[in-house]
Amino acid sequence: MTFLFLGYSVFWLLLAAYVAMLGARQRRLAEEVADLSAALDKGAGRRMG
Amino acid sequence: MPTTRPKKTAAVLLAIAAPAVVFAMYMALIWAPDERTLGTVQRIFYIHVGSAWNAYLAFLIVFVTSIGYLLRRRPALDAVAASAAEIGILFTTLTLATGSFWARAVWNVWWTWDPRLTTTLIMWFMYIAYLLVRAAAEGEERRGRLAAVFGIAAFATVPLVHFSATWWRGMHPNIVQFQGGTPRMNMDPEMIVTMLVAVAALTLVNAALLAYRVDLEHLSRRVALLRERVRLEVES
Repeated sequence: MTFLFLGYSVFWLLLAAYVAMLGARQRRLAEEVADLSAALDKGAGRRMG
Repeated sequence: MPTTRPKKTAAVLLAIAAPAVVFAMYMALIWAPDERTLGTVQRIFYIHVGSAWNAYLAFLIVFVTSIGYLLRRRPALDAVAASAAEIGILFTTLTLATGSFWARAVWNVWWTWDPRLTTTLIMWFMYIAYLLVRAAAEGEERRGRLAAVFGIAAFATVPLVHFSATWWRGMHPNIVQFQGGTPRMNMDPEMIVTMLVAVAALTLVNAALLAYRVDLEHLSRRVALLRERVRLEVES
């Protein structure tokens, strides 16, 4: 019973850890897209002005 | 304009996968009968086989999309291959982890150099090497080409793992036995149904993860493009 519990727990913990890692990666990339887009817009604004 | 949030496909697949997984867990932990000699611990088998099947499936996707990339040079195929390789590694890790608990309970060891276990470990290392090749190669085209060749070659480990229990005698149980050329499963029908439901539910999880991961791969390529544009802007 102990090994069954441990087996299923580790299975779901690893899966949850991977999903959390993907979520963190998505947030980081979304922030970077926003920062880089803002930098490009600023550059374009400077050229126009 | 591309969005920075994963598309609906992943969310829809996850919405289908979640109840399927709950149902599969009910069948695996409650509905299926106890195995006569191994007892309750045999129930690890359902997530173990489901993980192994999904590792094979993910690596098959790497194989097919790698061939597609070499023929058509479409970055979208390379993105799917990269994503599927990562998910294949996840499912192989789950297979090794759940198998290890089963081994400790049944064989009294966490690990043994059985042909099935050893070849699975080799397969795991091969796809970790695949991701390292991707990380080390410079230039999208070069990275895609190198990774595709590696992805095709690495797939040789999948039949090696699958048939290792038949080709070499080991301790690992082989659930499919051939009797007069006909494949047979020496298991209770309820166990077979539970195994198939678990495999189907985890395949849905695999599909949801793959859709999510492919979206992230596209997002990461968009970041690389934006970085390049900013660099050119700064230089000009």
